[in-house]
Amino acid sequence: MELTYADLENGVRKIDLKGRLDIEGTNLIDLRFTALAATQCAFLVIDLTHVDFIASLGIATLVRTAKAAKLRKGSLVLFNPQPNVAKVLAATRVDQVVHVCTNLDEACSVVLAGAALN
Amino acid sequence: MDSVTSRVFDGTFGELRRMSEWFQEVAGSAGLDPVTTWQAELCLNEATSNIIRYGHDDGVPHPITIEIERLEPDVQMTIIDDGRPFNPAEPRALPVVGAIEDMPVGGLGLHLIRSFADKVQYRRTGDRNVLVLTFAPTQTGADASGQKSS
Repeated sequence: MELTYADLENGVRKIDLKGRLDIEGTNLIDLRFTALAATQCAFLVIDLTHVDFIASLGIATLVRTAKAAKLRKGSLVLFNPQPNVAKVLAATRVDQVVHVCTNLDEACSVVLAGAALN
Repeated sequence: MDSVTSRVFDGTFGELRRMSEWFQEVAGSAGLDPVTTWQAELCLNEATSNIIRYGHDDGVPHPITIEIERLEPDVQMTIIDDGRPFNPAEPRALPVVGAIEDMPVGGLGLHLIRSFADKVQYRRTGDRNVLVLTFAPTQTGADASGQKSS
């Protein structure tokens, strides 16, 4: 499991995940992921383009981070999940409470707009 | 694939990847389609994670037996463990939430099993839990979202 991130000019922090978000993969990135998201007014776009498997523990990490972002007057958007990952987001109804976008510009707009609503 | 392919794994989190790799290999040999393979692998991962996390409290790894059987056109996966009795087939509705603050982070694994397996059956045999998951090929067993209709 790999994690990289970039702070974009528009103030959005884009976190790119690559690999399997099963127990092993989630445990590998959990601390760093949480730390990167734990900033005041975090506007987070989580790029799931290269995540090919997600289990409930990976979902829990995303949900926990989205909750934490909102508590800090920030926001979190999920970007470009693969079909299998999107099905898990739908089955757990995460996609009903966290925005899922397939276009990066849209994801940035949504995350910044979401933050403005807080 | 033989009529039944089985393997015994140590009940540790470190074994889950090996379990997934083994299952993918078995599914590939059996000619199982990629979507059904993924759904079954997800359910295997969730069911065995649950057993490892909650099945025992003695701190000792316990074996988990996985059996895969092709019952054309379906695939049946049987997961056997000697943990405390637990029935994943019991319905537990996922709460409807309107905001991220209310979203639960626990219990999602069992919900995924019931979402992606066509049939979930449980029995207690002696001191063992026997969980039987049945998967139908995606062209007949899933709706357009890939989730099962039942």
